[in-house]
Amino acid sequence: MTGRVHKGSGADYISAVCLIVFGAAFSAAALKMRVFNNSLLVSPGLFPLILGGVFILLGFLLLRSAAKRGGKDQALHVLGKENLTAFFSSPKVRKGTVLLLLVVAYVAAVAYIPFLWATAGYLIVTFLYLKAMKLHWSILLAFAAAWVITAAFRDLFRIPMP
Amino acid sequence: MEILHLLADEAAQVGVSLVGALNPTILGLIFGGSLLGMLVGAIPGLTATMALALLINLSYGMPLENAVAFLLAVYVGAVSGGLNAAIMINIPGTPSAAATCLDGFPLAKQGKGGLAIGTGLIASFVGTLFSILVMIFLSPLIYKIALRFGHWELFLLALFGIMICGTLSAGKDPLKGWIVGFLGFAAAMVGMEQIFAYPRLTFGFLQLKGGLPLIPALIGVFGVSEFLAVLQEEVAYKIEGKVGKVIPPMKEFVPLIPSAIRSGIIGVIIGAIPGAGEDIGSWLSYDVGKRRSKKGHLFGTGSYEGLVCSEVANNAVIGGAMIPLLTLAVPGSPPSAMFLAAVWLHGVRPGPMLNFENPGFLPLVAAMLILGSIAMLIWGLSLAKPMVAVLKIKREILLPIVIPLTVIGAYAGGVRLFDVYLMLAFGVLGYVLRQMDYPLAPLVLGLILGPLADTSFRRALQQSRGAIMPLLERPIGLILLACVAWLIWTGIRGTRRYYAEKAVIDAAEDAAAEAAEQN
Repeated sequence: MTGRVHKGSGADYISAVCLIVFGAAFSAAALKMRVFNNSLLVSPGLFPLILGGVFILLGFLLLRSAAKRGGKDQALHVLGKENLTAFFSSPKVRKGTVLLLLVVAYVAAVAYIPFLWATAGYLIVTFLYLKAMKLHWSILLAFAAAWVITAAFRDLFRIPMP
Repeated sequence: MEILHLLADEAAQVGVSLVGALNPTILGLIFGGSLLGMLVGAIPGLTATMALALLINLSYGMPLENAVAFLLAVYVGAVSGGLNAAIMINIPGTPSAAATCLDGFPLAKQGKGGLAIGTGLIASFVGTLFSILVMIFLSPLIYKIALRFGHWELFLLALFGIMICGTLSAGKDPLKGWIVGFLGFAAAMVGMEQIFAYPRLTFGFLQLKGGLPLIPALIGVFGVSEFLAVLQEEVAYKIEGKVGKVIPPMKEFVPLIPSAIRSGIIGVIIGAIPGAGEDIGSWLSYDVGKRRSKKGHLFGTGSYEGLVCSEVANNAVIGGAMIPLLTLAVPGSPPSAMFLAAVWLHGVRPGPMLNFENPGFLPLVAAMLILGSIAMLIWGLSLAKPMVAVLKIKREILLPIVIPLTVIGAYAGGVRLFDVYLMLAFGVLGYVLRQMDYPLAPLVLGLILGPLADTSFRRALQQSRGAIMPLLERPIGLILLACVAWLIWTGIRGTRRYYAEKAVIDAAEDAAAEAAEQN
């Protein structure tokens, strides 16, 4: 092990393990489903049970190929504190995470405050985070976009809004 | 004779649908949809599937004819709109225009950007029309074959669909494509199954009893995840040269006709393969064109022939993708999956019985595709310069506006916030899968074909009283089974070869790094 990170094998190893666990859980859930007319052939759990088995099989195939490429060492290396810190502090991952959190906050806000206000607020914050334009333009464009979307969908096309 | 009669009848019905569509509302929707599709397609990073995901909500309240007209115009517009960015900034507006960059951008650098756009648009128009013709003439024949399908064949068709989609969309690593396809099957198991109405995997959520709603899932996978993936990348670009003259002289096209026909055939075939999509069609056609052409050595240096190969094929995929969708309810590409979800919402069930239940639907689709491609050509040629100007708007301004549209799209179908949360969950899933190099098309196809696979498999076993041998004696099933077995065999071999090559590259990289450290 040279300590170098190869793209793929560590991630494949981890996803293979997850897939095997998922397959086992899926099969277990399928086995708990009711069997009608004492026949497994038409039972609702039959297809999920087979799918669970397929996931386990595919998981082992992926695990085998990842292990051959040093996937286990790579996975342990990638999951080490140093690499995890480097991963989460990389600008690309940070940007993706912040954008995702903004979307989550917006979706949560839509449930509680009027769509127009939630949309305008989301757009202002996102424009500012992405440094798309200056503050006053961000506010102006965010409200304009939120109003146009609301008016077009609700009033023009009669689409139900959150 | 019977087949000829059938085809003539089909062509006549398309004519009737075309005449029926010539009213201000439908024409307005077609031209509006085409323009919106082209705008979304022109923005680098946004795909035709994303265009449909964003605009599908507008079709909810429309009558069926209007919804079909609007969505198909968006589809054609978005696939064609990707060429503007590919030619002028060397970044494909949609993945389907990636091969267009290879010759389009060199042409733009030579000051022929406008001519390249014009040639690409005419090629797109030709590709779409060619595929519509094939769709009109081939679909009735496939209906006839599809009517012979029993439950066993339908199950194998669904299995073959995700296997081939996984194989083609995952490139050199089919295993990942299959995994995602079966994940789609697994997601489709949620909710009440169709034989006993027994609720499966609902985890106590009443909202899940009806199953995972398709449109929010599609919007999440293709809308939200695309937004996150595109915006986290910093991409700097500048527009190369001026657009200039757009309409090319007709004499330039005559030598390109054989390439256009070949590309059209490739596009239709790729389109008809479940889940393969426009990007695969365009790359394959470009590759074949380069090897077959007498001027193949000029491909990549600004060859109009190369441009035509890519653009005819990616648009020919549209009609090709409609063939399995309309006859077997198996979408040929991700955008056509979105279209399928939309027409389901309007009560139309594509598949072998469509010709009996909705005899006018296939001609309607053909007519709307023809009108959509005409609208695309008119908009594209007349608005080439403004379309390029759109590229000057920063992505950081345009893309955040996508998210409110996805929220409306997910909410409006079922009028419940639960669907918006589901969309978000699928968006995160799609984003994670993208980051790990898993293709997304098999996930969607699995979600669509899952219920068919489950129900057909159990009914087939029930009919044969659990015996497998009678099922293996059916010729269509046997062909499908052989195809699945072949896909598994070649896929596993391909995956092994790919990983073996990768291991060699990794080892070489390690050795080079160690040598560098020692020095």
